[in-house]
Amino acid sequence: MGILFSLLIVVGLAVVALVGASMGHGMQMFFGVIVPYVSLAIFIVAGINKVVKWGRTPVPFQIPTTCGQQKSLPWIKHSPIENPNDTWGVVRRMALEVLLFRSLFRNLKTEINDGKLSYGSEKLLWLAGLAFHVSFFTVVLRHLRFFITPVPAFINITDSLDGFMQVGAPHLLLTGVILVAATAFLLYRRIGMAQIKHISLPADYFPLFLIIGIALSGIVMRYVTKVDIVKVKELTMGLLSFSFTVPSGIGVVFFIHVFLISTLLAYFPFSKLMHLGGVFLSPTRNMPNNSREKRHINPWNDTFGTEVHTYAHYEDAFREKMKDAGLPVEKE
Amino acid sequence: MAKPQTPKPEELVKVDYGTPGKSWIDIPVEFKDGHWCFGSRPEFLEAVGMPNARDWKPDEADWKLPDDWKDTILQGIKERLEKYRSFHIFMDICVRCGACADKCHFYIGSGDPKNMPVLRAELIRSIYRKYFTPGGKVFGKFAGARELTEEVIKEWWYYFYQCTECRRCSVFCPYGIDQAEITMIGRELLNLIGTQTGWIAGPVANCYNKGNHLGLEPHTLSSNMEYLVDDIEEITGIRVEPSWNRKGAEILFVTPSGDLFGDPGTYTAMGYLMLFHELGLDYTWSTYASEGGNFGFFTSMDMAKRLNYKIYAEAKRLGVKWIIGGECGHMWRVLHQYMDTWNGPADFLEEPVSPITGTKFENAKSTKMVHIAEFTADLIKHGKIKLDPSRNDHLNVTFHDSCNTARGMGMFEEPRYIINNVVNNFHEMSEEESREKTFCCGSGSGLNAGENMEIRMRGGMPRANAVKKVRDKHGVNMLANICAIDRATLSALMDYWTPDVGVCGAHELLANALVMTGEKKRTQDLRLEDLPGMEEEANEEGDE
Amino acid sequence: MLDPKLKDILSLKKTVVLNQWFDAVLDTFPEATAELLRKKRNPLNDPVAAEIFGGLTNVLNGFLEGPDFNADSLVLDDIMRVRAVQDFTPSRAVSFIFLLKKVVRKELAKDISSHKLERAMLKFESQIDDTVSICFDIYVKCREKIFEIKANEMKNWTYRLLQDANKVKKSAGK
Ligand code: HEM
Ligand code: SF4
Ligand code: SF4
Repeated sequence: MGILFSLLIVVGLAVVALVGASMGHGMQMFFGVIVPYVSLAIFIVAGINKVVKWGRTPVPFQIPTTCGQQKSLPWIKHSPIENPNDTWGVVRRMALEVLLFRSLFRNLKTEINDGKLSYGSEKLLWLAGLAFHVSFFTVVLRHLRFFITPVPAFINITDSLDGFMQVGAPHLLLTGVILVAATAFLLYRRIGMAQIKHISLPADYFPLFLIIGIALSGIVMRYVTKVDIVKVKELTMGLLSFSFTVPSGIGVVFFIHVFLISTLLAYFPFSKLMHLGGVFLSPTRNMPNNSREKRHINPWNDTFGTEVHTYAHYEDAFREKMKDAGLPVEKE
Repeated sequence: MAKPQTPKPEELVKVDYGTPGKSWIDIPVEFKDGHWCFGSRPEFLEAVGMPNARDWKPDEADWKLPDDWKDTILQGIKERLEKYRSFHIFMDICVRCGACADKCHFYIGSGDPKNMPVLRAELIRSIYRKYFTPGGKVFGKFAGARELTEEVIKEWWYYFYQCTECRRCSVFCPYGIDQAEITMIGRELLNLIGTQTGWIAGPVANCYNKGNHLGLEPHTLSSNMEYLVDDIEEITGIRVEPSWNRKGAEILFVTPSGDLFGDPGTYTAMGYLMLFHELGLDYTWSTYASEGGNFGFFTSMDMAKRLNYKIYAEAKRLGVKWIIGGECGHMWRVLHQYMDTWNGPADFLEEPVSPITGTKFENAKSTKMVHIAEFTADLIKHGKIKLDPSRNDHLNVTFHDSCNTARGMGMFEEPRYIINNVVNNFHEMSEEESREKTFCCGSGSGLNAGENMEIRMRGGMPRANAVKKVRDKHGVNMLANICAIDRATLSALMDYWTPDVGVCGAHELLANALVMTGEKKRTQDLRLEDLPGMEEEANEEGDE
Repeated sequence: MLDPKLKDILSLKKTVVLNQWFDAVLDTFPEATAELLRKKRNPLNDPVAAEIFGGLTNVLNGFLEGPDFNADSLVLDDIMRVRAVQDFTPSRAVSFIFLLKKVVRKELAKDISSHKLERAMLKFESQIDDTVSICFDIYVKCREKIFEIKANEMKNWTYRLLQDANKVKKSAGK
């Protein structure tokens, strides 16, 4: 039920933008300028606030999850990435996590063979997750052409790589398609697989619908309503230079697109999407496994309960028995 | 997932909440027999000054919580959010992708959805949302938030004591979210209101006052070891002479006390005694620090630190140079990742150097505590001990990576190197079931009680299943490991699922193969069972 | 042994029978668990479902291909060992076999009357009943095993201490 509810909210948001943008220039100003500003401000302020809060929280113990051989004796082959011993190892481990989703790549699925449980590899989540993130990132990058004049070469290159299939006019951009397909698959997992459905919250469906909405409205703009890019750029450059102009004739789909993006931005810092920042700070992944070699300091170590059972207490309790058993004692 | 008709949003909201069985939040916790441990007795908690000591029974409605339990818990969560980045981040960033869901042996064995690591975390995350996030405060259940009630406490208790803190889930999570860490904090919170299990609280109290989990007094410890010494003499003809509380020894040896008293752990302890004797190592045991294990770690960080204190304190008092730790899992998670931080710096000790080979243990230069497997692997590599692996020829061995040494340390090759040098028949379990992906014995983190045997057997099923596979394929009949808890719990597990497979420590195998100077011909293994083949030979020799 | 004709028909309908049986068995699980297990299109994605499905397949194969089950049948032993540590009452733990009767009756209703297999079916049912009692025995054995393990574990934990106590007793007796 959370599924439909989330869908309806996203549809509702789109309708709000649609109705609003059709109501004339004033409302277009609101949806095209004010809302993006506000949501961007929320995104930045709340997002930074969250990361700073995390960053300020101490890491009392050195708790990497080790997934390979430790560095011990010189002749034993150490696994420097799966079980890093120094910062360089950690950097490589994190790079693999962030760029290639190393841990998801390990995914297994339980099977039964000859009446016994066995574990086959299950890479679909990894593949879809990676496809989703890479295409999402590329799409965001491509959008920079609306904000930078002249358009930097690397964005044009991305564009032409992306449209290498040369079908349609304007050329079909692969990442857009992949983005929708991958998000649709992630959504399918949540709806079609019982286990995943059981653990899903409305907060899991909502961003997926939102992203699908954003991608679809973008695709519609590009291929169906063929939005006037020059006008859009006029608007976006206006946003950057704080000269607020909303050229007429952009078309309502654009405002839907922008409104959904604004929602995503404003929602981002309060949601699980913050894994964007959290993943870099996760102590089980970003710490080297050298806690016996180098002492890790816990800033609040001293606030522990200090009552301990000292040897003196112990000997006082057992002195006679110890003497009888021939065990050495401090005080006769 | 076809939705037949589309009701209005208001209806949706109602339907969602009104249908029990749809959302896990609406499924009340049910205490099933054989799944939970008895509650702590008041004297255990009193012994270490833990709050709300009382008589209580988990299956009774009234848990006799203190009046302000709710504030205590909420305050406790707040404090821990400020103290642990791990906890804070893990509360915020889980995307519920489900990669961890079927990685937990308790979920695999029981099928109970709340045993999926992600839902185990949601048990506490839902409270976090309700009281600590704007979304949860405003949108309540719809944002996955819920009120903190006594029911929630019971649910925590039931499921946080169905997690062995094994970290398998953490290996597969894209952000490394470690349910073990969340469980540890969950248990810490439960201990703030006095809801601990007896099986954990008892050993904690014993260890605090008497130095070890069983609560054995100094004279009992030392006199008991004589039985092991007697057995060694019977097997080898050599009388080893361990010392206790000896000042000025070079090395302090600390191992879980269970290995001195419980079979088959005792055979591993005999292995240590024999090895150290053969090396002529200048080392001592301690009665005060006679426990390597640390059930405080299953209680609270505070308690764990207080128990762990004794190891360095004793090393200092005795004036040793460095410390060797025996085979154990959670003991090594503590020694490796926590001890130095809690109770260091151990600047009164020296950087460990093997007196036999001269090897510097660089990886332990701050804690000054070396794992016995590292120590022994180094000996073998340098050819310092004589081994006759054929004495273990009747054994077909496989190796169980203990969760803690695997995922909290990364000790994979050292024990394998030892085992491969002391047995001729060794077979690995599959890659998906060993090393960093190893399956828990199902009874770690203080869950090795008797009253929860059913869940132990189910949680251990994936491990047993893996053993069964190598047994059927290679005729494996011995499951080696480097963990004292494993030696006890895997014995029970094998007994149930694969009765023809035995359990032993790596140093038991080593001592069987160890050729000691001046020993008599071995006709028995450490278990005082006849060594197949050897007896005949002995007879033949007699005939000549 | 199964009547040859019944065996043929049952072999033909094996997949349907197996799936129906599997569904019926899932009903014996607690609500939330059953719901999850059932919603799986492919039971092999879920470990517990996989374990059960595998067990049922083996039992059905056993009925079809023989030899008749007895107390040493590994197939029954495997499945009962799992069920003995699941939260079932003894009757529920063995009930899964009974469910097969219902399913076969339902799925093969037409074939039974059209091929006059009533008698063979009765025989098959009594064979199922026998199997239930074998399962029950195994179940009891497994439960006893659990108790034995509990006791043993206690003893093992403190084996050397008991040795101490025994010695004391012995020497006092001398
Ligand atoms: C190491 C880095 C990252 C990993 C391993 C990761 C992994 C994941 C996973 C597994 C999902 C859940 C898919 C599902 O719904 O099942 C997800 C969702 C998402 N991620 Fe990332 N992510 C990473 C970094 C980022 C970054 C840098 C962004 C920046 C835009 C991002 C944005 C998103 C968004 C928008 C979703 C939403 C889809 C949803 O709600 O499911 N992620 N991520
Ligand atoms: S794998 Fe990690 S992010 Fe995914 S559901 Fe589990 S804990 Fe959450
Ligand atoms: S730490 Fe181990 S027992 Fe606990 S939830 Fe994770 S996989 Fe399960």
